[in-house]
Amino acid sequence: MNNRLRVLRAERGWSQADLATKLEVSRQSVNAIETGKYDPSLPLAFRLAKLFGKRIEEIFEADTQ
Amino acid sequence: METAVSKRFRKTSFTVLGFYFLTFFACIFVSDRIHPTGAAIWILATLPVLPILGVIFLMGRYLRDEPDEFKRDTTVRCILWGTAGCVAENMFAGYLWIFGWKGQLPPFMGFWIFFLFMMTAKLFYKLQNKVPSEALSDQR
Repeated sequence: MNNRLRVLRAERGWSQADLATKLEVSRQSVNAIETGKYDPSLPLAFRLAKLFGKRIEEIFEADTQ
Repeated sequence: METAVSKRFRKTSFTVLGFYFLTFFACIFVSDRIHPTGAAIWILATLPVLPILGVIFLMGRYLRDEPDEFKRDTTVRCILWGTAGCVAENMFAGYLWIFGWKGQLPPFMGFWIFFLFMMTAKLFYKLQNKVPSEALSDQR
């Protein structure tokens, strides 16, 4: 799954550590989601959407293949 | 960042493992002295197993309480790799026996294979998900 997490984070001037603290997860988790190695669960995706003030589909995009 | 739950798991599991080694050596000592027979053998064999069951219980509690789902996911994968190694060893030993091998694999082999596979998987996932420095991660 593709996502715009890095862009949204950069727009707000947050580091991965900042985002990890806000989400109460490890920086490893944020990095894994950003790099597409891990797809978050629905509750975490909702937390991300709420944090960025966006809808889930504005952050995550299903692979077109 | 280590979560409070993983800190608690690490501390309690080390305590229980300490208890395991204590029980293990105590049972070996008693076994060497009294050369148990009958029910005493069963009791001596059961005692060191109890702390291992305790560690499995602690793993379950950790997986239930860990708020970081990525860590939870990685831990489950590592446990599954450990279980796969243990089952493979058990199957291999079974087939050796069926095909006529009269030898015997060392005791606790399954446990060590489980541990080896789990730790190898943990190392692999750690390297695979190595977190770059903030500056590097923002450049990508």
